[in-house]
Amino acid sequence: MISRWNRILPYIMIFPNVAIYFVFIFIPVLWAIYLSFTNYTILNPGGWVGLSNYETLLKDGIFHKAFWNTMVFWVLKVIPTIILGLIVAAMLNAGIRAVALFRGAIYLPGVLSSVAVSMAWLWLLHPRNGPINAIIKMIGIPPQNWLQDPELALPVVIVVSIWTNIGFAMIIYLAGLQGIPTHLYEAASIDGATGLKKFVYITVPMLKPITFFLFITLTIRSFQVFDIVYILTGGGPLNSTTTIVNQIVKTAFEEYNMGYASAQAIVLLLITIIVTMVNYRVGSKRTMD
Amino acid sequence: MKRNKIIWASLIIIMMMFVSACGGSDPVPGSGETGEVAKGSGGETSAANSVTIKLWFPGHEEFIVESVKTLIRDFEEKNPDIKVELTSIPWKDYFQKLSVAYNAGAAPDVHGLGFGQLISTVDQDKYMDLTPLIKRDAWEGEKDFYPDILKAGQWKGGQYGLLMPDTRGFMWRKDMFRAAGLDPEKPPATIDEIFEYAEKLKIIENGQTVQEGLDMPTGNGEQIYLSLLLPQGENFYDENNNPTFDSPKSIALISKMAGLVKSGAVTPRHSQQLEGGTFKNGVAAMAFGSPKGFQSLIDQVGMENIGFALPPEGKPGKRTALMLGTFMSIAKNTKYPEQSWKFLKFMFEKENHLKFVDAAKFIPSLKSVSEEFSKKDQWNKVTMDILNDAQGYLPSPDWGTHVKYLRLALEEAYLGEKTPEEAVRTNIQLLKDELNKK
Repeated sequence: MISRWNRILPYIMIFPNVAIYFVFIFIPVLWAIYLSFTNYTILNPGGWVGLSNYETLLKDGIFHKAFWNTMVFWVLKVIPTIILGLIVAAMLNAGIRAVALFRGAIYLPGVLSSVAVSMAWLWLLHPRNGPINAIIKMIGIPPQNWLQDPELALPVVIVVSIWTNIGFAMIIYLAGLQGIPTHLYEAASIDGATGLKKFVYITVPMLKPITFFLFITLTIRSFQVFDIVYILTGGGPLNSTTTIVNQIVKTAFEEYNMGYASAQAIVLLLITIIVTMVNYRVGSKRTMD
Repeated sequence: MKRNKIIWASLIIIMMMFVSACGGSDPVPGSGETGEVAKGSGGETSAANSVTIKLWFPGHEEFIVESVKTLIRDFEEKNPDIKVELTSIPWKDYFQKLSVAYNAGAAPDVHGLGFGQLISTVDQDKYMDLTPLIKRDAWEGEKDFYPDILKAGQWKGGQYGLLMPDTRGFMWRKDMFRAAGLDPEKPPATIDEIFEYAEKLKIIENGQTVQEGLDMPTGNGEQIYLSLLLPQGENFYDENNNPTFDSPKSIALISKMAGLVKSGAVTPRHSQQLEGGTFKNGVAAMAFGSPKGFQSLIDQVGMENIGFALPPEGKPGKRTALMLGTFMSIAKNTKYPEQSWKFLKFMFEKENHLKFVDAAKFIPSLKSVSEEFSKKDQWNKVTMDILNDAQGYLPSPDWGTHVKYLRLALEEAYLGEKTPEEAVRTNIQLLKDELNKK
């Protein structure tokens, strides 16, 4: 028989977390939903405008561009990050020398401030003084204005983001790899399986839950990308790197149009929820299989 | 049963404590009520009846912060019953924080505001109209202000800000002129000549620009565009809020600017790049600005290698410079209007003003100090001459929208996405559509 005290105790234990969630997440989200139906500017509460902000969104070319860029960013970032994270983790797990050094070096960008990381990349990619241009010049390729060329800017931002996130994927995969029972590999070895076959038929399937987790978290991170874009390109040139969050910040704090920015934020929230639910459904089905 | 009640009571108390802690109610600083202890700018406690006004000032550079602190110290010495609590915030975050403070009911009593920030938000009725106070006190400073500078802070007959201007004169590198075979003592005489000079001054090595003719950001580049347009007697929207950047002069100007990008005299870059502009970094030969923004360059190449003059002529005899700067305003809902006004008056008193603008590297707003200011530095005389014909953004609640589409038009033209004509016409249409919806 559980005493009443023991029944209430768990609620008391989770109360601080729930209270923080309630005050800092739940209420602001509800408030943003309300604001998205107003023409609230940065200094004035404004009035009710119904669905007007959402209608504007449908016609706003810059928002459409930001939406497209966010989707491109998501697809081109998440999959390579997962693949590269897995490859690096498998290599480190194979017992190469100086594992700790490599693990630390690869994980470091993920724990450094994104501002510091972006600043380092700004220097690396500098059109005049950057070492990357110096290297490509040596091999006969003309120097590029990496972050100010509308064709190059988004791919470069994606590469920087992948580099920053590989460490995170690697650490999670390393933990997963160490949880795979060794007898599976031993049995496969007895059956004559090569290293590649063991990787494809044992490692990858056993890591499905981890891959699923990474897919969800990296997806959400991709939708929320802001800092790298803000520092590297400011969303330019020609809005070629602007993302939904970048656009929300611009609308809210450069144009002072908080109502419209809230509508953009709500759309982003809905996209994130939908994509996460689809991921979850597909992912859990595959994980169950 | 009793135990349950205790548990629920505890939960409710914890929740209330949590919520009240999050509320962060703003202590009423020195409300004048007996027993109120206010914290002064130096962190010391003041006398029981003293009042503390909050001052927010944009800019985090040491010389600016120190200048404001000195001003506050001088003010507090003469007004022992008023303490001033200073908060310095970098420009980048300034308006965001200020607007949050306004929304939270915790706005500072006195605060600075960027040029665009005041003119685009003045219609929202958050700043105090200083006119009744100016009239009541028959404030001498009003007559002493340069008329255009005083006018910059006016909106529908009210005075909502007092401007400390910052103008964009013409700057050039004499050593680069010399190396390009140009007379280092003769800057371009006309706007058209700027483009000719920029082409002569550029240096391209192995397909890469190593020296730019003109410091011209291609992203968020409205200031350089306006610096080149104002001497031609135009602006990018008129007093009736109509966009005008599709005028023939504007299109011709944008075409020339795009030509500089195409020829390599300018390398595309964003104006908010953390490393700063190309003139500041010693890469560009010409720029619009004021020497106070280029101290590190002056230290590096020496004053003798830098020229500073009025902007070249656009129309014959017309050398209008772009004027921006920092407005000083009072929050409409301040609890201390008298003390805040007293501080502003102190700030714009002749001696204090001169001391402050000199230290903080602003330009005086008052005619009475201009002569003394001119004597202090070889470039101050030029700065004061520039003030005789300087113009800022026109007041408009839609300033942000105008700037957004102008930036896009400029970038599209510079990067060859569209012809200048197409770029301005498309973006003016989008701008008009957005304004019509408001």
